[in-house]
Amino acid sequence: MAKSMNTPKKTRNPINWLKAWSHLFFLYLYAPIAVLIIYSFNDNRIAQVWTEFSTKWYVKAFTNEDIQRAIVNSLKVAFVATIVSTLFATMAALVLFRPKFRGQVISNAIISLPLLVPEIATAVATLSFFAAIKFPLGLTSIIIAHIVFCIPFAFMPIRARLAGMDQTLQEAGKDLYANEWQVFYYVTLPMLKPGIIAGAILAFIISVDDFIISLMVAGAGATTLPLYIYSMIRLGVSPEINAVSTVLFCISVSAIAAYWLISRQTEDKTHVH
Amino acid sequence: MTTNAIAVNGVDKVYGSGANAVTALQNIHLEIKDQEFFTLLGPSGCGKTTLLRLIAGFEQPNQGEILLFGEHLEGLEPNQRPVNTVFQNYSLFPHMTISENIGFGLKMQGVDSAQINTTVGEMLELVKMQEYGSRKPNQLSGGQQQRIALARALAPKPKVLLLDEPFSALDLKLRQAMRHELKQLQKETGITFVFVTHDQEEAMSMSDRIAVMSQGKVQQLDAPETIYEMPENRFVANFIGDVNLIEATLTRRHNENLICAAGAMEIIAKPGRSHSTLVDGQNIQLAVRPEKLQITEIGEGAIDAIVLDSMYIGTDRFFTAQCSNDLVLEVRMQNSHLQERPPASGDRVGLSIPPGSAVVLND
Ligand SMILES: Nc1ncnc2c1ncn2[C@@H]1O[C@H](COP(=O)(O)OP(=O)(O)OP(=O)(O)O)[C@@H](O)[C@H]1O
Ligand SMILES: [Mg+2]
Repeated sequence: MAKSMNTPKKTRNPINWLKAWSHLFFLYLYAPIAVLIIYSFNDNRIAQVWTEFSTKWYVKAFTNEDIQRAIVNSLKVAFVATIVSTLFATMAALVLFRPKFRGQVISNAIISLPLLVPEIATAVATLSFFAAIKFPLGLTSIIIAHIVFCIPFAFMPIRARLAGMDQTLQEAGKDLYANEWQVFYYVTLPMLKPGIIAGAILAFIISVDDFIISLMVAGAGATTLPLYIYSMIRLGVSPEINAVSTVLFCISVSAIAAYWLISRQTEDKTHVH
Repeated sequence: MTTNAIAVNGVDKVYGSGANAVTALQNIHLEIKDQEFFTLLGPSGCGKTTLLRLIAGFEQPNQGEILLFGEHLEGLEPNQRPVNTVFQNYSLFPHMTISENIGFGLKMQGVDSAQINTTVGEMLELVKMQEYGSRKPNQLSGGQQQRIALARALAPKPKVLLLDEPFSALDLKLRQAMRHELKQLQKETGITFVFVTHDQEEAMSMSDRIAVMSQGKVQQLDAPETIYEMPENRFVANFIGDVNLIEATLTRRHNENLICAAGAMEIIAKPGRSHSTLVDGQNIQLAVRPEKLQITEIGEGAIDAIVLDSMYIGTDRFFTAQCSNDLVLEVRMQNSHLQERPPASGDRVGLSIPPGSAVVLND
């Protein structure tokens, strides 16, 4: 009896340890972000000394024309990069998922490879490429670079969605007198929509947050929000930086939340029992 | 002259090539009549689905041709064939409502929306699902999805409806109820049904004719009674119901019947379709259904036997009886026919095989 009481206790012990450690880990992970957000509402000019609650740094940040321009630039780049890369990714997924063809595995690998290449290498390569073809650096060069490296991110959820799709649905469409295009428009595309939305959101987050590649290929006057924050921080941490960073953080988090909500919702919806 | 709904002439289908080649169908000849309830019956992997997919146009035959009401189907895409399929897993479009699902075929055919609405209403009524038009497929039970899949395939009024094991996902009770409904539906619509199943009871109870298939070939094509009463070969005899297979020697002919000897027992058998080729003294294979055999008092039957086993299964009782060293027969008797004390194992009894209840197989 005593022995049987003992065993479960013993096996639970390591779990408790893991729990404690993971709590610590999360504290470590999120404490800086919490500090960032809290101090962005601090009235004091010296960022690390709390005086009282205030939103004046947000007001100040949003009335700063440079910051306004950086936000607009970031959104411009992200929107164009998201739309174009998602379009490419969707087409690539559709082509690569057709009945087997030669080079399918290689093509899949080629599309996903940029996920593994160190970003700094991609950044240098992109810069060298633009220099080689004498492409003027500016907002356009950032957009082009973002489109390219967002494709694999947009591609992943779309391909996953396509792989999980019941192939007989397309056959059912054909059986019911739909031609290839009608099958695509009425069956494949609506079924793929959650994957496409997820891919687009992922591409958007990646683009908004990108720093290294943007830094390399940005021309004069083409400052995105992360670049601007970096340039500010060289003058010391100010509450204004905290406020702007919090804004950037919120953009990313809301995109992730949207992604999560959409993928959960569609999972419930599209499973036929 | 009436044309057949479907004519399959010498069709071969091979999947893959070289070392990986799988022959799914071999020299298939079939004629399916208009308005017929036709069933393809056979074990898993015998090529039933393949044949349906060839008719629907999802696969192309390597050899031979398929005609639909006299017209060649070769070169026509699935969407160009006036044939609809009820898929095994229903394959309802999950992002569309039930009504949109049912109306899909008509919409693709360019029917105007007023007409689509009318037809969708009729179809929902036909499958008794009027209240469900605005739901999504995942809000329906399996049986309900089944009906919608039927309605969707019937809505464009196809010339032939193909059904690939449509009941396999349903539980037994529902499956039995759906049999009547499906048969009824077929009569009401007057559409030719080609039904695929590996369930012999399902095939027997609904079909006008059955093609029993095995290993890519049609083993026998007949009405259900003929398939059961006059199986042509061992495969068909074994696959449909229970059967006793008896090795015998043909001794002589008497009128239409064949007098055969199995050990000490004389059996008067019905010739199968191969009787003209038989000669006296030839070894033959007989099949007799367990319920045709009769148990009598010892000495009163054609042969004496020892009961090895007696098993009660509700309506009937199954006996295993040993007549000689190499002849063990199964007997099935309805319980209402049994005397107060049914023979128990170890009892000695007589057995008789009524004339004409055994049939000669051709292999
Ligand atoms: N796409 C394919 N590629 C290769 N072989 C296939 C393919 N489809 C079917 N086969 C093979 O062809 C044979 C017949 O398959 P088919 O699906 O027609 O059988 P079935 O009678 O419908 O069986 P079940 O009752 O299990 O559905 C099988 O040996 C199967 O492995
Ligand atoms: Mg099958």
